[in-house]
Amino acid sequence: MKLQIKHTISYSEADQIIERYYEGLTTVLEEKLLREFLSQRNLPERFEPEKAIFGYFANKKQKSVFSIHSFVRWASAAVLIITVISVELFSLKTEKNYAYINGKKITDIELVRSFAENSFKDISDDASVNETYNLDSKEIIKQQLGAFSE
Amino acid sequence: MSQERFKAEILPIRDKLFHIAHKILVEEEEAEDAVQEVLLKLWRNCNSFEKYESLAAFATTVIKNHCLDRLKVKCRSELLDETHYSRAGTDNPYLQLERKNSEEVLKEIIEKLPELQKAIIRMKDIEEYEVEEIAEITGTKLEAVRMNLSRARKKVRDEYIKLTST
Repeated sequence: MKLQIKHTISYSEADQIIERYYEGLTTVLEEKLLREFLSQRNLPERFEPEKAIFGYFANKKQKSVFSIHSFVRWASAAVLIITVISVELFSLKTEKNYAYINGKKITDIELVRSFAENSFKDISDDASVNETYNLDSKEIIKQQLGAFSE
Repeated sequence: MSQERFKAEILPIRDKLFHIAHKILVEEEEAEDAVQEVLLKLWRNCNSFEKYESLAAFATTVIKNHCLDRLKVKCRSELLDETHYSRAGTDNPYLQLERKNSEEVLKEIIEKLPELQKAIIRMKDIEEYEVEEIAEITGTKLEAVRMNLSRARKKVRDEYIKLTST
């Protein structure tokens, strides 16, 4: 069995703090002690107004803390989603690059380059195409293969 | 960051703000309350400071408008007969029926506190500022904050007892 020992202030201590509270002299810590004291059940009648007042403020405080908590909860969910997405993207990017040439999957960049250069050669031999589009075949191949090696 | 701007740009012109308030409201004590109210209001809205290039100019506008509003409210309440209020009283059975629990009663009491007292009790009892911090923000002495806090708390207690005792 677990024993819960809770330190609370005595009635006379509470009376003293309450008096100081109404003079605006209590610290945040003293008010916390008083709040704990007033949250007890079966207190004498004379503490009723303070019980209600402190209960009211505690309730207001909880609401503002709750909104911070729910913000943290939403934020952590958002962080999780972002993490999952970025891991996915990262693994996609690092997946080995390949090209299909004549129905065959080829992952060797050099092989792909030589195939590409050959097929460009066929086109650029045609002078009219070259003039119209001003093709620089080497540059185009380099651009296209840029993503390949990473 | 914005709190630093508050301290660097608004607190130094406190005297100027007081001067404006004094001119509009005439009474010194009222002007002082108005300045503190505006400073607390500005402090609470620190986050929107980015919009304003000159905080001093912004604060000057706010104090002017605030004092003019105060003046309007004052004129209006002076027009109403005081005895009218006391006759309506708090022991009206319809009003009692409306008040379902102590929470509503307290909410109502706090709402009716003077603006400055309301702001101070909220900062101290809900947002847990120390009196020293509030004094720094309002540019006043500790005693002044304590006095307003004490008045607000006593008023809440007295009104609560009055409204809940049958």
